[in-house]
Amino acid sequence: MNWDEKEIFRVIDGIAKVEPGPEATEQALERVRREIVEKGTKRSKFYFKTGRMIMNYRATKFATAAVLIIGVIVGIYFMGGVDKVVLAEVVEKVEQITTFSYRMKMHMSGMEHMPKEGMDMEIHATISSDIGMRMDSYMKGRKASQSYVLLAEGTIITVIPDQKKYMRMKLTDEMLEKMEKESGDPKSILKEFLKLEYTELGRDTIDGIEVEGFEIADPKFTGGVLDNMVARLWVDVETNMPVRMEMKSSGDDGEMQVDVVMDEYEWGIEIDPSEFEPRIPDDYSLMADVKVPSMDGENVVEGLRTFAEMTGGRYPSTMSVLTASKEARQGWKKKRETEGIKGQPSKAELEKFMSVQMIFVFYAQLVQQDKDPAYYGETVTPEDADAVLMRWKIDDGQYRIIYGDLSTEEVSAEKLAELEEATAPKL
Amino acid sequence: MEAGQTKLLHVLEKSGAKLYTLLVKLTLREEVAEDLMQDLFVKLSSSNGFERSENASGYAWRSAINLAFDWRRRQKRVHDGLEGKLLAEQNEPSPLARMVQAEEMQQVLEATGRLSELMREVFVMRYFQQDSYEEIAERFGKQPQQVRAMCSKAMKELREFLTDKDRQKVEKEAEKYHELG
Repeated sequence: MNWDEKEIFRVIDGIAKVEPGPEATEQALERVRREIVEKGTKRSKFYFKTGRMIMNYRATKFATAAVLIIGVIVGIYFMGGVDKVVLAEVVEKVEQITTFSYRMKMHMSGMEHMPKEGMDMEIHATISSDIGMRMDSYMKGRKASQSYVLLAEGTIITVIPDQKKYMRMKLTDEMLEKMEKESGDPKSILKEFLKLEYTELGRDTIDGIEVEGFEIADPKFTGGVLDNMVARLWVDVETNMPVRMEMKSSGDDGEMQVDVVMDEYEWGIEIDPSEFEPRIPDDYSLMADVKVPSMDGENVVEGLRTFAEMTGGRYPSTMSVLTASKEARQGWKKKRETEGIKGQPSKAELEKFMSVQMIFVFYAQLVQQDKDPAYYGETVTPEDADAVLMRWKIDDGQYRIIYGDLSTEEVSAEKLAELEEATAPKL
Repeated sequence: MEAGQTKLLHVLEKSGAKLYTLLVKLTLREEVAEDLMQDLFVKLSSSNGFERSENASGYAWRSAINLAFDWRRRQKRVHDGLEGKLLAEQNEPSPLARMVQAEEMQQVLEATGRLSELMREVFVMRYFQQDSYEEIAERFGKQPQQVRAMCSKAMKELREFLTDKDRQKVEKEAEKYHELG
């Protein structure tokens, strides 16, 4: 088309003539009018409705924070996970790919403060094996956060524009090395993926593209971050590149659910390095500054101690992020109520909350790295001083143990077996 | 009633219908415009800038434009949205002509989204909303001739974006054809 001014004006005139119907206009105005009059204008009182969704803005903030954390964690784990199946099919082809982007749509339901219909989040992710990753998250059509995984600095920065705040998460050397390795060396991802069992689903058509499907039901795919997980990947039979990935997961005995769909993949894209530079306006404040626990587990002990303080002496019943996050939030809420703490959480409180979340990130690393981890929080309490609460393999076949009283010890595999036998719940 | 509520209601009664119409023009979808309208007032209710602003309606206009283009950036192009219905009601062209028109509108709106924020706001008010240079100048605290110059520059950039995009499309198709051959 010849885009001269005359043509542009012709199209602009068309847009200028677009008018909504009077009924639609009145409906839109009435909806806003009702909200202003009935609910007031203070942030804490302003309710907003979208279709069937009715949310209390302040209460939703807590759910939003949880959703963001889960979104970031899931997104990070897919940094490597996305292309694992594809690599099994096309390792040579993707060997040279160092940049790609995708869209992730996530629907979560069953968490407290969420509307019955649940909440939706959309993430647009761009990955460069040299620089890192950028994820832009949107909720209800509004930008909820921007996260930057900066490989050079070993940091994840999450900016939350609505709250004018940002979080900083320092990665461990091991995690960083793994991320660099996975995003830069597709073969290593393939090798890891091939350890998992998958089912071939046969052929189907998505958006007119003939695809072949694969299904994985192994929680290791997301490092145990999500439980009861089933993931499906659909690959274009012509190009051997992924077209769509679907994942369903649940926690808290099926009460909480997370559905993820990833699509709009673009491979070998041009990257503007400036897009990976965190943009934090001067008036934004640091919301939390946390470290992913190192493999020595000292920070895990601290995280577990904090969790027990929050929940009146209980440990997380599981290392699944959905269930354990719910327990942490409930415990935290109850503690605040008991101690008469009101208002927005302080930076110290948020850092504590985040440090607890980091236990699950750490555990997911152990699963992905085949460190033979196990966790017995469902039965072990702080009173069970000699019972194994958590363990994982370290070098030379030795195991590190965290006991119920949070003391730690390194033992052989044989000794571990004895300990676990002695403290296993009697049925 | 609180002062904040009164201010919001004033903007709603004075400019609400026009704001909604603007959102429909920029999104080409009524239901999206309705949601964005709600988002707009949520945003205004918690905005210090709006609270302090002496020209509340002007602030709302600019926020609405930015919200609409933020939404556009996140959307894939759709051809089965409201644009078809709206165009059909106005011109009753053939289905093919409707598709072409809708595609052209999407292209122009997409290119408009690539203009700088100020230029985009001025451009939208002038051409999509058909406000006078004087009205726009008043909203931005500028002279009408400055607004006119900005519109002219915006049109030049828009043309460049559109031409460049067409060129890229042709090159891509040629490349594909070459690969197939």
